[in-house]
Amino acid sequence: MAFIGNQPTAVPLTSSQLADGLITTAKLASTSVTTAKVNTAAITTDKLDLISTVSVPAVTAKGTPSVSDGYIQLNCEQNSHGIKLKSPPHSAAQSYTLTFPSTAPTDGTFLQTNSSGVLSFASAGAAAGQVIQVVTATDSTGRNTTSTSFVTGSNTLSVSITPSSASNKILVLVSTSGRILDEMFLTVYRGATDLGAASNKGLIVMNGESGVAAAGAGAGISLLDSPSTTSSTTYQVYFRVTSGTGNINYSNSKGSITLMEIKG
Amino acid sequence: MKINICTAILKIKSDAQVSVSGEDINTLEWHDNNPTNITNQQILAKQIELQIEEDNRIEQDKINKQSAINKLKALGLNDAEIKSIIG
Repeated sequence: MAFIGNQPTAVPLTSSQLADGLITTAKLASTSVTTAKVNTAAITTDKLDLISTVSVPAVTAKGTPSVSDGYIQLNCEQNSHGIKLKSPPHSAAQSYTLTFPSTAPTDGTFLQTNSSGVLSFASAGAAAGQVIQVVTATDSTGRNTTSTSFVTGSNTLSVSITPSSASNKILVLVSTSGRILDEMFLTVYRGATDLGAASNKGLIVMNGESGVAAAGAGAGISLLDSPSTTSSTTYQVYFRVTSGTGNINYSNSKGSITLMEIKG
Repeated sequence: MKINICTAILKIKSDAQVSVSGEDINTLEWHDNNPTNITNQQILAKQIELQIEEDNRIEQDKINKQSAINKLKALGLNDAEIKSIIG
């Protein structure tokens, strides 16, 4: 048999004898490179520099018909455990792409996707009924009024909140003390809207014994409001009397107004 | 009892509509625009006048109480009996 170039020998070819590009796919018969012809650990990470193109992935984990969908496994350091990322089944007919976030993760966030499968890190949302935010204000200055129409109960018993959703609710909590000779009504305004009963009856009423003795008492208001807005909204304590002088934050005791945004 | 600013104002004008914070006359808010132009000086003067009346009333009450006790003792009641009557 005639030969051009080197005569084949019984010894294996070395890498120096194989010019770049010499062994092409066309020169390797199908299934010619069997497992037995590749030494254990012969293919190192240096030899795996897989490149993706626009239409061809660097790696494809193929499935086996009627046996298993394709998946890849990430092993522990001892290779005794591993987790798998697996394709949905053939019957689902899905070919979507998930693209990981372009920003680094932050504490307490989770992966969410848009309709294109582009993932991003997002803050965990609250479940219905959970508290989303709390704001509060206090005032330790007593305030008197003779007004028979509702007026601000305090310069500082006022607090603003910006709901994160129009479907969320606001739990309003007020604590103060009052003193009155006749009748004193307390209420809460959301902006210019009285959240109390009609006809200026407010949310609570304190009664003294008119013309005889003044009465002092603690006063608490709790109200679940539905502002239906995502704009900054101010809640404020208002009060009025039927006659005489009414007082809140009596004797300069500390009054407070607290708002809790509740997930709707 | 301390006479507050609102009480003094109501003594000047019984239907006045006003609020005040911390008993500071500089925080007065007139909800009826103060139609009779009541001045702070008038209010403070009325407050002092009412406070003197109130203090005198309290002092007179004490005098009257002691006088009543003395008269009851003159009638022969002891301290326990008097206490049971007047508290």
